[in-house]
Amino acid sequence: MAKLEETNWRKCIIEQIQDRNRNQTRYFHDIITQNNRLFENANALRSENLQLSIQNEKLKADTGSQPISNASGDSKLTERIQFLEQKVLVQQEELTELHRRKGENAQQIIDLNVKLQEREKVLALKETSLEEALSSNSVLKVEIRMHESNMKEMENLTQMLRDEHQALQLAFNLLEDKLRKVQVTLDENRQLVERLISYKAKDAQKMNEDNDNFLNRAPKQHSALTLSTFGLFRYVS
Amino acid sequence: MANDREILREIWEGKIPVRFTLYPDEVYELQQPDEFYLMVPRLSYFPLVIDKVKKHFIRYVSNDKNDQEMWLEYDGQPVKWHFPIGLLFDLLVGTGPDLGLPWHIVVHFEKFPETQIFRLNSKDLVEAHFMACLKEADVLKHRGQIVSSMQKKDHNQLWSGLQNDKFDQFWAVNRKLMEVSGEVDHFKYIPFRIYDIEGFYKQKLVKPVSDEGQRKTLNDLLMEMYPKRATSVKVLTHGMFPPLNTPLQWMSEHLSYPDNFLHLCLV
Amino acid sequence: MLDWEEFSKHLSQMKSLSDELLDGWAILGKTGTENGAYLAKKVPRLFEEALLLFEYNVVYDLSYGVPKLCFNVFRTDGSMLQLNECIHVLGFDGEPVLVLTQMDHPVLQRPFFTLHPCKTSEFMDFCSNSKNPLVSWLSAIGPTVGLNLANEYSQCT
Repeated sequence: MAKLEETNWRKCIIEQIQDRNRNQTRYFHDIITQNNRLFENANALRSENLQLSIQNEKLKADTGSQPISNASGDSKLTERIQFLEQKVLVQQEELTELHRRKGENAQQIIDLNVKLQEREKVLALKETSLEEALSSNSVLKVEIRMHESNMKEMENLTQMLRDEHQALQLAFNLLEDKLRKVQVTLDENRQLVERLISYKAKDAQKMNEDNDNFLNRAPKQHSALTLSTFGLFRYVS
Repeated sequence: MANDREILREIWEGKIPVRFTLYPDEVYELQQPDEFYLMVPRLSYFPLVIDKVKKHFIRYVSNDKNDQEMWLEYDGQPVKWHFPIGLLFDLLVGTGPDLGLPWHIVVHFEKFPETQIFRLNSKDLVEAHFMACLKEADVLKHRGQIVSSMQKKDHNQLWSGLQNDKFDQFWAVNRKLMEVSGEVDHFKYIPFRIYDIEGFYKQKLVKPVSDEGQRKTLNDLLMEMYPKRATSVKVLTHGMFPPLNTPLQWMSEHLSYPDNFLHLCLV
Repeated sequence: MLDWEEFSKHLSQMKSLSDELLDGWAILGKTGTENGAYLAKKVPRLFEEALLLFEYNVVYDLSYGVPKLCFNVFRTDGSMLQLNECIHVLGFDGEPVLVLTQMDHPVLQRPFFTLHPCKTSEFMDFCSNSKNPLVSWLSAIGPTVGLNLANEYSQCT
């Protein structure tokens, strides 16, 4: 238990120090070292420049104070002077260039520092949005699970309904068949009834005809009672 | 025993980027001087690391006065350069999300504030000050026995290790100052200074163990120093906040500056 | 070795005697807090036709448990003498940086030239049979930096 406590404060301390070294030391170290190297180069060049200028002046003074000597010597001297002047010019240009770069580097240090701070801000924002995303993610996962179980229930219900439906459909088909058969029977029935009726009608007609025939053949043979009786029993078709 | 080498190493590696500029009123040349950047070790002292700074700026000031004495200023106040650099940074800049690095320090060559800061214009003077602090710390820890038993070459090795940023060279000798003698496993008193917001410090004789033999923590030290305010107080050292339950003996062995003192800033 | 209470006591005793002798010592700082107070005296002196002000402070060193003598020397324009100038004025010989250096005044926390406390503890043991070792010590080392105690102070010891 003591060991755990010990590692906690020690861990806190070492993490803070490592953070400190990263933020305060490593970020700046390289660019400052580079800057100072440029400074030293510039200084060295400047002193070299100075020396060359002095030499130049000396040479100019020497040629000025000397009496007129042979022409070739003169031209050689002027040549040398021109060459040295050229060198000085080149050095001066280099020097200005280094000055400029020094200024740029200094500016870069400041810019990088600003950028660093901005990045850190962005990072902090990203971290908070990430946290939010993760938490909504877990909420959504829970909802998904809920919906999945709902869906499963629904599926079961649907399946049940389908089965019922199918059964009902079969029953319906059977009944439909039955109905059709009944209808056929009914039709047959009706046809039979119609035939029966027509037969009965024919029978009635025949009877009536028979009656008529009977009455016509022997009208005097029958009594008035029989007539009226027959008349009452006239077969209606 | 200071045997947590990882902590010792990380503390030693602490460096702060500094931007030196010359006080504008003192610029004598037509050309304005460039700023000078430098990484300075937290554990060292300003007078040891500013030779290049002096060389860079001195040609821009008037050489009417001979021996222009250089001094440093931050935020309008002279920098007390007899304090270690890390302590000065913790005191003057502190901590927080925006430290405004590089640390902007203004260089002066005129009107040396002699009543406020030490004259440390030679390395010998800085060494004498450093050794005096070391001796005082040893008096508190071991009644002075370890420093007095060291040879001159050990003293020299400590100083040269600090000056030249040589961790192994320094700690080869410094570990002797962190040892505890046979009978007891702790120092007699803990060498420390606690600094308030104004930069004034307090010292007190504090033992690293209680009368019952319990190891004391940073919290115990704060209770002894500030019995009324201990709970709201936080302590800053080496640019970080040690937890209140850190043992004092361990802190003295590992978080002391090279002068063997703990320099703690109240926040 | 002295603790703060003892030092405080000796300080008060010396101050009372100083009042009787009109010697000009004052107790400054906060007497209630540990190592919050010190004894101070200002002595004007002429040196090479210049008027100098010597400010002497007797302070307590908590780590060594001994008293320390601090001082600064000022010119009339307010500027402070540097180490080599002090040495010249006081007529020191030998290697002064071993004995006399700039140190933080324990209460004021400003630079003062201070005599090193490391040898003082041995000296204090030597003075332990005095009733006021502070006065004994001061009377012995004071003169090296131009501070002389009147003989009447021996009453305390």
